[in-house]
Amino acid sequence: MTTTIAKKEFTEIVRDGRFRWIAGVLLLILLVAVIAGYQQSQEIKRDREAAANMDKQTWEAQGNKNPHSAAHFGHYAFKPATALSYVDRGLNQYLGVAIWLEAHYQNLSSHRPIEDKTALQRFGELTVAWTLQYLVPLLIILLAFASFAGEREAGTLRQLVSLGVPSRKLAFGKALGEVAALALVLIPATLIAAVLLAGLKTGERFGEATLRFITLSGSYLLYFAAILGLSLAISAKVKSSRVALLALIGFWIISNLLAPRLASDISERLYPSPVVSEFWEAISKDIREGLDGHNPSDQRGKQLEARVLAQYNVKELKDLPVNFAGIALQEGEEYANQVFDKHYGGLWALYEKQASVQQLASLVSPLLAIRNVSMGLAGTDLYQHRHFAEQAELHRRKIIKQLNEDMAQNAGKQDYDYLADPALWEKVPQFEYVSPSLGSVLGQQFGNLLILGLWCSATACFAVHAVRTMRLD
Amino acid sequence: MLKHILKHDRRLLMADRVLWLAALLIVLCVSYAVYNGAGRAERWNKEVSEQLAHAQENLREQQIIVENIFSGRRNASDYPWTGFPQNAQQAATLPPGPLAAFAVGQSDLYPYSTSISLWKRDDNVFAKYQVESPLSLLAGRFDFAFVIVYLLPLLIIALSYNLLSSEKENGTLVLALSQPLNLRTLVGGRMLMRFALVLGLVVALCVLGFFASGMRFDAPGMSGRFSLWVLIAGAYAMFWFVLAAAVNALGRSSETNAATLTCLWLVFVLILPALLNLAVSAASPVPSRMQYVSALRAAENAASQIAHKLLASYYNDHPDLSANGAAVVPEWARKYYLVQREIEDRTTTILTDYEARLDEQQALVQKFRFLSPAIIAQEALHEIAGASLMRQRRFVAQTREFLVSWQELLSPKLLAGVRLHPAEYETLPHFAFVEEPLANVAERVQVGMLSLLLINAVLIGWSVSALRRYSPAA
Repeated sequence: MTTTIAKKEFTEIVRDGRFRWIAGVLLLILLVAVIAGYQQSQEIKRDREAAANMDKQTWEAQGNKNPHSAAHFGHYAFKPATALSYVDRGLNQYLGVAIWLEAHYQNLSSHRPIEDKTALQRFGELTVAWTLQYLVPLLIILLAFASFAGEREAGTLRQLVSLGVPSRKLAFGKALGEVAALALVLIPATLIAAVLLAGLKTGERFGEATLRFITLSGSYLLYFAAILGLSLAISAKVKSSRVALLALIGFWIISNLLAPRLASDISERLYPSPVVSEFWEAISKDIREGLDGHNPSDQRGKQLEARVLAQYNVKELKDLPVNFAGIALQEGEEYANQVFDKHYGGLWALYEKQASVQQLASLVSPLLAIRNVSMGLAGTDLYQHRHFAEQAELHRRKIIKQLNEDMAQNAGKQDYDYLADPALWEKVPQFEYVSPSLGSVLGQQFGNLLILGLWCSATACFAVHAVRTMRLD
Repeated sequence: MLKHILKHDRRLLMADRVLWLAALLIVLCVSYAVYNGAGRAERWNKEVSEQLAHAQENLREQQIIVENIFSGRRNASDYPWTGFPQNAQQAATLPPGPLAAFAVGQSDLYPYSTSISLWKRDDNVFAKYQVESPLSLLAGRFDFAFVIVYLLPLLIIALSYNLLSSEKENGTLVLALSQPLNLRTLVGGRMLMRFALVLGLVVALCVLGFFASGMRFDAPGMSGRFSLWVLIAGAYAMFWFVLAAAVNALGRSSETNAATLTCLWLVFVLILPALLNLAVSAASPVPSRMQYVSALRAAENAASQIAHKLLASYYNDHPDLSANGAAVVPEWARKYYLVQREIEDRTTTILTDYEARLDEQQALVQKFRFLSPAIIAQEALHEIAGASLMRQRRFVAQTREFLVSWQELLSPKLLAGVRLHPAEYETLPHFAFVEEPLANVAERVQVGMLSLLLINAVLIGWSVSALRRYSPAA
């Protein structure tokens, strides 16, 4: 019986000229989005690789230079494009593409693509994720708003129910028919996206990329199911199809248009982003006066001197077998690193708190839940960026230490006049970034996936209940 | 006849509870938006004045110490860094835009302050500022401009989707037209009444919001900007009314009208801007930022390797500044300054090329924005409120100019290797952002306004001719 209902629903929908038009346009938009996204991600990949190579060449061409000068020159750590970023660009436009690894500073990632775009960018980017999150729900609403309300107005609802089909099967049958109509749009787009994924050359992580793709598709299906369930429920509950459409469009506006902005406003209000000047001043104050406020840097310098003299059992710095300037530099770095850990830790914690507010808001807006999951799986969310930034910072500490130690070992009496052999530059390792595994991402996204699942099951129950208790005329 | 229509319609509209609800929602949204915006503008103002005060304090501290060193009360060796020309810093700040409470626009993306010193270079005047949460940036802010561009059209659609079709479906249209009444007058009158109500609501909200956020009409240019804001909002609202009338003139059912208008809303407000965004990025891509950074670093490498030559040749050209025993500024600091100038020289063409391409992209957007009234309205509203990219670029340009004048003033002292004299601290220039004259802003906004009015006129013309073929019988 379910399949008969589904078939009837599907045939009716597909015969409607309006549906054909809208579905056609939507499919076109999806295709444009996926191809454009693919091209852009290839471009980004080429660009980053070229930049990384150029940076390596520049680094190795420094010639004879004091290691500390080289430490000031630093490396750049470039954020690679992730496999599925062609589907969902997530936060990438708002996140810096590279981090400057220099001495004395843990830098924020810089060169955010959004700053080189026009004001049009804030209207939204036409990506596959955007289309799936914003436009496909409208198609679903259009398909389903009149499922029961329309039949009621046409007078055929009583006949339908008189067939004795249990309401669960009735709801499910209608849903199936609408899903089949939706599949006409989604399946070609998914296939093309999958083909492009194969063309991405992700190397040995292809298996993981495929799994991510499948999980992503599954998550979107959950999202669509939630919207479909809600639409069917409203259609059954409300007395006219006009009111059903109004209610569902109203829901779409609140969920997709208002909720994201309100959630981000509220999260900023509760946990405001720091003021830039205050952020850096607090860091330099802690370095200057000590983390506890009672350990000023010149005092630390004197303590270090005493410690090192005692360690090498000499009376004066000039008798040391190692270069004190190099040792002092590294000590300074170590202390500064503690300060950075404190402040950046605070910054990341702040972002996490803001994200938790948004997660709470996703109980009202399924869009927020799917947006987070989608960004997470595509590797374009804050979690991934933090992972990259933390890896970059570890690399920075490693290379600065290496340079400082070279100076400590080899500078002798020359201090800053010591020029290192260019071979040293080649010994300093390049930054190799490995993005987090799918397992860790899924763990991170567990809450959001749960909320999506909750939405899906709640709306399904609501739909079944609404169908069971619906008025027949 | 028109008067009767207007009176009758007003009574009908006032009695409709759904419309009151929708209007209430808009009022709530605007109140929230303005409250948010005003709070943000206040915080921005506070931060800017704090930074200016902080910079003045620092300079004053340095001045006092230098005074003491010069008068012999303090030992110069106790202060190895104070008083050096390269360590004098001045704050360059951008105050919030004139109508900042009304629109956040692009202003949350860019830095609004920096410190100017001899350490800075053309390209890194603004650095290390990206602490704003990317999640907040992604969603954008709930400001007044958002309510006008995105939400107001929905209210207008709700008010006018069944302007004519409801009468036709009820069967009362034939009755109404049996009076000495022109169909055009009927439609025009009903539309006018609704437009008047919505415009009244918008103006009232603008005025209330203006005063609630602490702005004043007597501040320079404010009344002009406020009028422009109201005019753009009005022209945009008129567009949606005229569009609704045009859709009604097609003669379809109320439901079809509602669906069509919602689709048009989607197209104009969401889909077209996103498509245009894609098209502009594809047609006029900006060169890679990373390539620019790589070029800078390669230039830095090359320049630092000839640093000693740069210093020597500078002293050759300026024998009066030759390093003598009196130089206290270390050589590496003097070399660093010249190396930065050398890097700038080597990369200036890349920077100008880069910025020219950005300008090209912006120009392309300006050309194609006429495809969607939402884009026209948003750009205009952001310009008027001082939340646009243009204002940011002006700030960057003025900051760079200030940097150049700072360098011209202080670099001779740096390269001579001497401390600043206490009296020189008094004559250090201050940065004051020069707001664009309202006339220039108005000129840019005017184009948008006129195009909106032109689109409205075309739609009215079309509706008038379509109404001739309208059949009033259901």
